[in-house]
Amino acid sequence: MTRRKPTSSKSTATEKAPFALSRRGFLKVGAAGLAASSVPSLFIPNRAIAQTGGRGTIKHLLYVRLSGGFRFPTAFNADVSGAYNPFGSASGVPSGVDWGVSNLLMRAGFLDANRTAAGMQPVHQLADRITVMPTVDHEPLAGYADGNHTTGLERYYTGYVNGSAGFFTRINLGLADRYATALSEGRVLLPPFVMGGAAMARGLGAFAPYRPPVLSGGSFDRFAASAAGAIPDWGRPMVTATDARMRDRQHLRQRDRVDAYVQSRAATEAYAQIFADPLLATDRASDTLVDGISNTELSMLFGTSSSARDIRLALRLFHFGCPAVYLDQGGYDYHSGEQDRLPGSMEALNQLTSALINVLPRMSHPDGGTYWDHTLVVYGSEFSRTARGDRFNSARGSDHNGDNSTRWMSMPFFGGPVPGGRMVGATTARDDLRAEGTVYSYRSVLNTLMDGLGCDPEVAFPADPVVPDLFG
Amino acid sequence: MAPFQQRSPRCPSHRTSGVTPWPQRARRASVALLTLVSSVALSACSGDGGFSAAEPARGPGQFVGRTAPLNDTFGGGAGGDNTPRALGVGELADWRSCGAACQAHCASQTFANPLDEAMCPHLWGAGLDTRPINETEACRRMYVDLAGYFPTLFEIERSCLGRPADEVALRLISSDEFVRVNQLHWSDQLRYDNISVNFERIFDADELVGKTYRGLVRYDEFLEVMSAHPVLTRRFDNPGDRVEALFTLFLGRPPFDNERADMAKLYTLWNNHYVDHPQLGMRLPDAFIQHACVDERGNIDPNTQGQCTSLLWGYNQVILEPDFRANEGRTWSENLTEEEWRILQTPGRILSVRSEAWEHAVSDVLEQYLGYNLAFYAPSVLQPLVEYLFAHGGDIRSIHYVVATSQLYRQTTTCPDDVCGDDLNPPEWTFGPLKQVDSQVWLDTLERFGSTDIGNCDRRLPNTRDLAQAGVYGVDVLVSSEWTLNDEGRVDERYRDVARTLGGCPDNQVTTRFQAISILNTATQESFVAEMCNPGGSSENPVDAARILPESVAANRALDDTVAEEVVEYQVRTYFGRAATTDEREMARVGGAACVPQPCDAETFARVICYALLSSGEMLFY
Repeated sequence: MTRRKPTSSKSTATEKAPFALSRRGFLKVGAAGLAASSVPSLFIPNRAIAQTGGRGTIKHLLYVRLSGGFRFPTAFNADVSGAYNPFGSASGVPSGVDWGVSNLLMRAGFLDANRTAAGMQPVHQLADRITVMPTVDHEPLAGYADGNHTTGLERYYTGYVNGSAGFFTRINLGLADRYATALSEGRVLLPPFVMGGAAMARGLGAFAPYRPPVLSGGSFDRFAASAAGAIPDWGRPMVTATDARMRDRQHLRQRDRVDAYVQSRAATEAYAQIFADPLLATDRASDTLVDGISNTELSMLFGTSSSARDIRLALRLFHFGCPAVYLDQGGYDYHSGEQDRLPGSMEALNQLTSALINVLPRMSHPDGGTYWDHTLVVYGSEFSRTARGDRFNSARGSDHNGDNSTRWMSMPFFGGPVPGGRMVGATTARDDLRAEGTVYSYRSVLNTLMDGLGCDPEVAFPADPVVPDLFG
Repeated sequence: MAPFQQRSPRCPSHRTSGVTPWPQRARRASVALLTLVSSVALSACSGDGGFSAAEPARGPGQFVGRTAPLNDTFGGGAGGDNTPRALGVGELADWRSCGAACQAHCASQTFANPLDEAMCPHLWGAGLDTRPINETEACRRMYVDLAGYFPTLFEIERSCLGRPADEVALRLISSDEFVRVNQLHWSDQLRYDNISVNFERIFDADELVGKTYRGLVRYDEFLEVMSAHPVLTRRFDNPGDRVEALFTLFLGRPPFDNERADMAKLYTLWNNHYVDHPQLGMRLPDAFIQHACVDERGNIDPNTQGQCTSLLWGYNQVILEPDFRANEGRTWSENLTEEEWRILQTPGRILSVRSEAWEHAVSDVLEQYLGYNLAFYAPSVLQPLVEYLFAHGGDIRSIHYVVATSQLYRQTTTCPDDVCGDDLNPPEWTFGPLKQVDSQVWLDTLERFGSTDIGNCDRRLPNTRDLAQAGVYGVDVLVSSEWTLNDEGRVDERYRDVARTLGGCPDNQVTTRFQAISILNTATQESFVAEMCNPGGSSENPVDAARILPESVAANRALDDTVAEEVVEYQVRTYFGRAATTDEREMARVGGAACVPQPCDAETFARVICYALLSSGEMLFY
């Protein structure tokens, strides 16, 4: 048995080499890559495949979790009663926008002179670039929502409770053939990166070899800094010899685990040049224009919060062929103080949204066009929130349980592959949030995104259909 | 046996019996008054020290513990090296069955250590042998496993060499570092997560673990308290899931369907919600008792009591009658009395009398030290160790002592191919356990060697954001914790960021601690070491030469063979905790000769050696 080849080679055929590999590096990585790509698995026809019409149109996915359970109607499904969105709707929204734009998306205190001059706008004025699925649900057939932090997050990361693979592990496996092809052409493509909860990179059983790297809270500045003081050539034999001696001393049965480390060090050398590239040191000021924008300007536009740093780094990882980055943003588990604190938190999110919509169309992509053309940004969360029929709970916050208010995750999507301003899937009744139309599962959304990325259909969740009209 | 150290709950302690009916008439007559009084009492309590940022632990762990340890020393310990049975011509070692000759051989041996004795039929009696270890290697391993860091050779010489292994093990087990190592172990097992669980309960659980590993709490007491501790109950939504977590944690297996369904009735009362914390001004997750199986007067309801009664392990019932503390039928966990906790801990008492629970406790310790599940191959070792544990009053430290002093553990991981290379599938207990070090042990050790300080993380508070935003009391909690705040008053996240990339400091919401070897981990480790050692001599990142050079060698001293050897000898002793080998001295001379720019100085060479040694597999595996 062999793994099934991708159904479309469009995306790989048009990719340029973002990073050429030296002959030595190619030989080292090539062996590991070919070994990984030859892992046998069983092909099972999957009815969730390639039904979107947008297959392969996403080259880069920025997948953001609004941490802690986000009260979606307060931002992306605002045309509901005050019990669900106590903050009201926005005014001045562009015409033709179908989804409910919240008053909180008007908050734009971040628009100082520099950012305004750069063209950044309040998010409500950009609503026609954003499409929303108002009623994404963990399990549409279940009787009630999963409002538990642990299991809700499990579903968010893996599609199921105790799922065997994180969403990003599926992406990594789904694109394995693309990496192998690139390697055979002497190019190194960065894998997907997880910058948040490591469960997004979970991989059990057949998924284990495809766990993507986790860079939780870190940055590549460390690599750039250490590269400046890297080991000189005359010292390398001592490094190699020290490891070799340690390995050779071990009992034969123990040697494999030390060997794994030695091989990892060799493979790391191939990536070291990318990791140490000053472009990835996004916390360091640099006016050098890459893809049409400098790290200094990115820093000015996005700011210096941890999420802003992650997004700036993600944009630079994309430059090296990375197909997807996951990150956590904010902390929205407002059981208390939501009334006072959510507006400020939304302003931080608004800045990120506004900056992304500003820079992606300005950044030229190595494959032609702009990053906006090839990139999709998606916000999600483990569940939504409820105040049990009131505007807020007794502590001026909101909780999460099994009701509709907790249930519907109103997920926004923006980027070239998804035409903006629309609502996709079921809408909600104003007074009781009753769904009207087709409710899609969260796994259907993930299948759709994997299809958009051009992943091997084998990695899709088998029982969940794609969302056919997300890509327009 | 030392008596319990009785401690009262800080707030409020009104009743001592969970099922004793509150006098009905008095209660009915006084409901309004009591409600008023309780409100006043609770508010007074909350404002006068009911909460302490420095000691926030509040929960059922406060009710257990002794003032003196169960044991000051342990029996057995390290014995002499046993000899394998001589095999007949053509006879192969068979560790799976122990025949007459095997049994006779084991009967003729002398054993001080019960694990060694129990393993004899699978080892020496079967004609197999252990690999002798030198004191330095054994000491280094014990320090990592028992104290949580790599020692230098100086520390090894001072504390191990020439001393009996029994004495070394006992001293380490009596140390604060040992307690901390096991608090970290249980924080992973219980997955401390202050998003899902009130941090005051997490601190309480952590203190309980601390008392257990100081010998102040028996293992069965520990199990019982944990069985109804909010760190366990609050993480799960329904009674069945709580049973599953309890079984998995303390029996090492999920419950069978009938066990799950039956024991779930003993978790019927537990519910989850959020409570406003008066000092912090935060809404915290917490567990409460919803008084089920009682009638509208609060008496046990004969019609519904079956929903709170288990019959599979005898007649066990968990029902608490509400009193004035209950609001809308709820009593929050911090208001429960010692007696009520005792009733709620019924599931733990059911498990703690089962041999499975004790065998799992022993098995867990074996895996901690050996890195593999010995009981899977040799289940007969468990019973004698459980008996040994009983003989020491249920003091779980005794098992740590017995394993750490066993010949099974005290074996070298090394073996020349001409000695071991022919046997392609030897049992794992015929050579020493080689384990990958935990990322935090690795980081802590490098911080010690480099004398750098990049902060810390606190297992009890994996999520700091809400506390940092909660105002002065929240910040007080963080200041009193193991987190450090930077000059701007923010939590210093440098240590956590590196550790999480490597698999440590887990947030425990969905992910837990992990060990991995990947390109990103390796690159992170290499870059961290490069920052410490500065092998390329970057002017941006100077290294304190005194850290990497012996006292007798000045940084600018011209490099020659002697200096090169001295540098390597010094660093191997410091980092690897042993003397340099002949090969390493040879490497020093060859590497020193290659060092450029010529003439090389001692510091330039030492920086490269520092990188070579600290980034090597010998710092990652032990």
